[in-house]
Amino acid sequence: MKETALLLGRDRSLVGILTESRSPAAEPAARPGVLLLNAGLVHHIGPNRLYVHLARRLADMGYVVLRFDFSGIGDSGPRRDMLPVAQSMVDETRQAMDCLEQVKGLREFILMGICAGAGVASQAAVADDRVTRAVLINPMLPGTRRVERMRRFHYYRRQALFNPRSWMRLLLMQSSYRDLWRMLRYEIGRRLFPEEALRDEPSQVIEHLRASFRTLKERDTRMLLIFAAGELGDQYFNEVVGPEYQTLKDQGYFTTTQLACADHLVTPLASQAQLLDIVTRWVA
Amino acid sequence: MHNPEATPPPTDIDPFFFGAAPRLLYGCLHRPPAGAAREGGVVICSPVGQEYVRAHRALYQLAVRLAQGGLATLRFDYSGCGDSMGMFEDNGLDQWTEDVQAAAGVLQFRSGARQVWLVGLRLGAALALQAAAAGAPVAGMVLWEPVLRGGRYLEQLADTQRRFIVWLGSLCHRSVNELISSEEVMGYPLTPTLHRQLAGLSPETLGRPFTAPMLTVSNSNDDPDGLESFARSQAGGEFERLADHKPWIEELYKRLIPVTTIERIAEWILRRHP
Repeated sequence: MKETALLLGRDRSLVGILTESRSPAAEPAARPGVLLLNAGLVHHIGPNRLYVHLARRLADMGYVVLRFDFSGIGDSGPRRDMLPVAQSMVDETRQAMDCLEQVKGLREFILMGICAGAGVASQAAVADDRVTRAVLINPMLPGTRRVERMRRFHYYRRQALFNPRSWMRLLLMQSSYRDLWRMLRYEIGRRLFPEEALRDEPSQVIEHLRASFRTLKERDTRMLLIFAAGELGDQYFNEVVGPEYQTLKDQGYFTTTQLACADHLVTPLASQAQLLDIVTRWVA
Repeated sequence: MHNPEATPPPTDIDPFFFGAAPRLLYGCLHRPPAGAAREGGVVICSPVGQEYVRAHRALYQLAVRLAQGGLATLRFDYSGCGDSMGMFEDNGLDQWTEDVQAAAGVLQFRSGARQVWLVGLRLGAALALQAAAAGAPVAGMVLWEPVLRGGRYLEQLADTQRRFIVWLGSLCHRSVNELISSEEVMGYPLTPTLHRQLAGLSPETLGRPFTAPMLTVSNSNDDPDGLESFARSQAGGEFERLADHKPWIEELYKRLIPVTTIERIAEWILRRHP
């Protein structure tokens, strides 16, 4: 395995590390290139150095892997135009693919990302048909009221319910009863009348998500979605996208899996090892 | 006095690997604008583990500021850390001290800098002191919230790990005893060797007194580790307490840059360069 540091992008202001096998395959373009996208503001090594380990494992399997920083993150310089960050990240992902196409002759790509990086990976997959597969790890969900309510209910159901201190606060009238009632009412309504409850999610969010999934299916783009404990992505997609989401799973376009006992950034060493195994097996 | 409203001149950034395989280290050299280079250069010695990740962009901003002032500045990753080769668990303080020395040499070679200054943040400050004590030709040093007492540092790490495990256990309904391990801290392995080396860190073991200019900066309200007395015990030592963000412990989604501290460190070093 060998690594090369490079400057990429139209302005050569993005910093990246190219990882590849020391004995490159006779036809390197036979395998898709792999891009690892920033997990939020964490620089290109990834949370807990996960991207470094992943890049080196994939390179040993014969893949060419690029981990790099979006503008304003890690080692990369700031962006000089006014393009909104959501668009600039997709743009820079495409620039990175252009770089690998020019330098290594690669024409197909696998995008991988944790948290916000997963969001960028899915948007870039929709925007660019060079993306044949994507790995979304704990994808960040939109900041909507529905997601906020899901998080609160999940907290109460999975954690507060089993926490003696939460019960004490409830009995001592230190909890917000109005909040609790609203959350319970919403949750009951969501289960009994799911279509009605969907009205609280902005229609453009729903339509965008459904359209994106349709596009990915039409292009035969395969997705691996990995969820840690407490992640609500699978439930959210089920509810918002509807039966189409389950169909995508049944037909093999989407594969979903859970990490045994991991947090959002996959901190425990055992979870890191599990994640690396899951991703490298799926890619192989 | 640096005018923050002025448009800063552009600086170059040069990412590269250095050293000899298999111990290649990753570095980023920030070059001054053309025609503005001074004689000295700076090596930034970063913290380790989660503190390294959280402080990463703040140290990038410090490097940009120093380069804008005319000092070639090298940020780099220790063996087994960041983008450098190797596994974290195969390395420790001794190797990382050697890495600081190697970085100082590479800075001089690649930039032509005649003098090398070290800026160390947290454990990076301890490594900077050890490198200077081991003979690295250091013209001056800034210690930013240095880890001087390894025992207390280990206690803080253990406390953070335990709180994380309690929270994780409540999330996935596992007991603390099932999840807790003495051999990892917040996503990084803590080997018995590294534990022993950290436990042995103290002002007494951190090498001979440093006679060149040294500034110790603290962003804390209290001083349980005796940073001020350590700083003033050094021949050229100065101490400053600055109210500012602590980038090494900020939440990852916040990225609050300690502008006051960065500006003060840069100003202190630049004032000592012709």
